[in-house]
Amino acid sequence: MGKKKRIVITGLGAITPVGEGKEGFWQGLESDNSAIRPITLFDTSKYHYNQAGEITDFDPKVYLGAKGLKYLNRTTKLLMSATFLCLKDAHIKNDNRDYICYAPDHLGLALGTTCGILHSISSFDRESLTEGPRFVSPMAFANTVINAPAGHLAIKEDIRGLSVTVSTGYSASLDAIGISLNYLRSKRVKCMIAGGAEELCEELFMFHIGQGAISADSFPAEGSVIFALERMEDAVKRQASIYGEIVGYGNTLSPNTEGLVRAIELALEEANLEARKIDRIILGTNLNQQQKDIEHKAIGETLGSSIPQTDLRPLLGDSYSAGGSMQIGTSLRIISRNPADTILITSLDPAGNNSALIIRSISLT
Amino acid sequence: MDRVVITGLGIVSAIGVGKQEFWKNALNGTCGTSEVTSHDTSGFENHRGGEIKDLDPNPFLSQEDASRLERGSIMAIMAAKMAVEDAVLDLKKENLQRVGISMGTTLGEVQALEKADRVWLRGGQDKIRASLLQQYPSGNIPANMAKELGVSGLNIMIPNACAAGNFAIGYAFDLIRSFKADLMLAGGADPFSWIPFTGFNRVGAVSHDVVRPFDRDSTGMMVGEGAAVLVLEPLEKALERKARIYAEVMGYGISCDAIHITAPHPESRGLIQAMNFALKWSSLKPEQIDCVIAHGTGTPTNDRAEMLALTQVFGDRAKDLPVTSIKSMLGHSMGAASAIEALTNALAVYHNLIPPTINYRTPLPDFDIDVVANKCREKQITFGMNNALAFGGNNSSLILGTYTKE
Repeated sequence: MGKKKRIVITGLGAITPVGEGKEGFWQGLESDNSAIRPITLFDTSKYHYNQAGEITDFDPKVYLGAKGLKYLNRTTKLLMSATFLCLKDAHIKNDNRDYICYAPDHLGLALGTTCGILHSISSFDRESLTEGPRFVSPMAFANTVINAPAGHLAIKEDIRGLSVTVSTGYSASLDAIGISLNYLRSKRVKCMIAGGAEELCEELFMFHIGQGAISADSFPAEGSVIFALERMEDAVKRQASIYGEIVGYGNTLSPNTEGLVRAIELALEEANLEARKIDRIILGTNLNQQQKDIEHKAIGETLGSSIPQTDLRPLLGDSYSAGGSMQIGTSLRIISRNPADTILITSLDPAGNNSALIIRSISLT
Repeated sequence: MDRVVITGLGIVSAIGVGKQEFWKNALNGTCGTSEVTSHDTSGFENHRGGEIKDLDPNPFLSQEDASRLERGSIMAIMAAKMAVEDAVLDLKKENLQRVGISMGTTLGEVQALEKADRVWLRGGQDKIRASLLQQYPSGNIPANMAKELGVSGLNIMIPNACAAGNFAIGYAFDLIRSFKADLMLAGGADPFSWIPFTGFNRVGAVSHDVVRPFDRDSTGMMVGEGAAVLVLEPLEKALERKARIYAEVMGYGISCDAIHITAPHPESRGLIQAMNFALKWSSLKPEQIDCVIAHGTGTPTNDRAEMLALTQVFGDRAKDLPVTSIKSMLGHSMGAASAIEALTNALAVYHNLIPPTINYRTPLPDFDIDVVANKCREKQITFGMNNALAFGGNNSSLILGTYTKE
């Protein structure tokens, strides 16, 4: 395949429990205010827990206008708002939502989400049973397919090159970046809009309870962080500001320490870096103790246990497939402060998916 | 050169489990749609679908293993094991860390969710709901396949609705070409279930009698189910192990309409773009394509959109280009559909036979297209194309070719 094309991040848009927009998100990361608060999205009276990283003050109208929001679910609105901010931040679109530098065909979309339509599909199902199958809304059916949020976003922003949804649980955001690297390196598109989105809903809350992952000091959350990815030469040519370069990606399927160790090694290999070159690791946001233990062991085996670690869980909670996008957004903040840092991001899912991503400043290569 | 070939095929479908039974019935024009028995359809106007009756996981899964898995995973594991066997692969001899899985679906393990919802409505235990919801994430399908086969390479689920199989196969092709995997199992799986049956009925897309694609009198699609898995490997590897090569993956094209969440673009913009990309990436001209395995759902909207795209891309040649829809036999197996059609494409290229579009009577006015009507057709197929459209505005086109040394 010849020399690998270098892929850089040129835009960031975020809707998270600690803040909205790049500045809001980054400031939120550095404040001591945890995002945990009482859930208002659904009735929690029958559960033992009622706290989550719900984005209570989220108002999509601020970003998307008032029109056309009625048929969009919360994941889609979180995603669309984050993407709006990202495209603006990357100077890919102007304030009128017009493309500045690329044609619609040049853009692709890769969204990591696994339960982004879980509430929509469950509501559709329950309504069909209680009201009868003839009385459910046809529009509601369109929102039951897993790629509905990406589909709505492609329409909203006129993304025509390609659109994929990736549903690999906790590693979905990282895998969405991984598949974006593929589409950019193989020159299918010039720019990938990629990241993760997941809404908080009663069904997902129940899912977390089933994993034994909710306790007094660990909580589910929601949000969306979206990035613009481009080939470095294109980004340089259009004089984009570059947050960092994605130098390595690895993914394996193996529900044990060996699997994550290998994902980290694959990312290091692609980055052509030795383990000792990693300055910091941003841990997966999975709250499940079993996954935490695997992660701990895998880091010990590959990087040594003394490596500085950032654990976003106490601050941001567990936003499932969107968690990886928050880790990546955090890594860009760290690089902006410490350009000499090379950052490893890991994620692992109970089903066995392990992913690792290495991000560093372009000045280091 | 980074050539990628297809060497193994596995399928679970309404017209047969396993490549041989499927192909025999496909060529014979066997109708796989029937009265739905898995759900009470009395609340609906239409009662037929493409269900796989009496799905038997034996000998691919033990009763015990099958009982802890949902239907999507069961069908996908069956198809994957058949594909590996068909490719005469001894996985124990492979570097299992370099064997990856790439799958597509529309609704994933939707049956687990449906069970959880029924528990909820009955006021049942939260514990039961929570445990059912653990099965729901669609990424469980490729993860369960990997665990069953003992492979631990790259693993992905791309739930790109009814074009998902082609997206998954396309990514698998790229992963082999970029040396991320030595062997990929790629395809799609979707179970028949209440939600899509309800939804497609509600949007008025369903036919009450048969699926009649590309026919003037077509009234709609039918919800189906199934799974197909293809073994993709580098050509060198296939030659070295003297594998049977069904077809070479020439290239694929994908695009997004970005105009409507469920309906195709009125001028078929995205589908035309995807087909043109597939041709470009395959370094082929339109006149080199010998047959098209169409999406062909049987809804008037889809069929017109496809006819329009074929006319645009193939021009005058469209009238002599055999086009077929196997959904006339299977119904619409959603996320599995384009994987089943890619498998059909591979078999068409290998055997120089095109399965028929059954139930075909009257051509669509305004379009002069050569539909393979009711009887299978023999034709030298050097290059075959299979197309898929999906909710979300996704379009995909995959081109397979006869393997030659050059």
